[in-house]
Amino acid sequence: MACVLVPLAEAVGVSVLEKCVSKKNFQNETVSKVVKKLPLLKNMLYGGSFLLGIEHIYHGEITFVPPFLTATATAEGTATMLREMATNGISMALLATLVWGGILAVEGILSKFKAKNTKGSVA
Amino acid sequence: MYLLMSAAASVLFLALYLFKRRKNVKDSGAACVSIMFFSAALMWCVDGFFSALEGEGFFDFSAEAFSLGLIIVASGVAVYIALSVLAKFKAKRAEKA
Repeated sequence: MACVLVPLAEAVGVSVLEKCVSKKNFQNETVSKVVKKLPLLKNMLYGGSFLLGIEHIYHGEITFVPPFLTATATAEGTATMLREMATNGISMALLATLVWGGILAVEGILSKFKAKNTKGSVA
Repeated sequence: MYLLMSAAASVLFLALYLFKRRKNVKDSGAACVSIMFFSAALMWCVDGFFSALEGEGFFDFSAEAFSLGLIIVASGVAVYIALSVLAKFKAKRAEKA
């Protein structure tokens, strides 16, 4: 019902984190690579939340008039909404973050492979 | 249905980005929109998974789902156009300066 709010909240958190750490220099190479890739995670979360928001508006779950979240009109609806946020919402945010982590891992492996090949060709 | 359409749109925009990169044309808008569709498809996969757990289908092939898919794709295309216009505007500004 309002599961989109969880990845959206994570996106806001990542934006804040990015602003705090982007200008810092990290000696650890892995940490600096992760920090450089924070914009990708931010784009994934904001982009996905935007399209999911459209879906929620289409289904009438989000409106532009109070109470904005139609599920909050009743106590039962609110409970269902919170349950959905806890299950669907957190799973969505986790999956997006895991896929982002997977992309970073694959990139790291590929760059190490490239570096090895370059060393081998030079030798 | 909108999950599949979103995934297909992600692949199309990725192909557009790679095609333009081959011609040495930077199109970060296409990459951004591709990521947007990909991420949305991932999130709808989670939705589909929980629907399947409750006994409903993973995919929704109704006419309503198809029309929503069209709206989603149109929104993504609108975002791409907006990003492209913004990029051109910034490039013109940089040229003038």
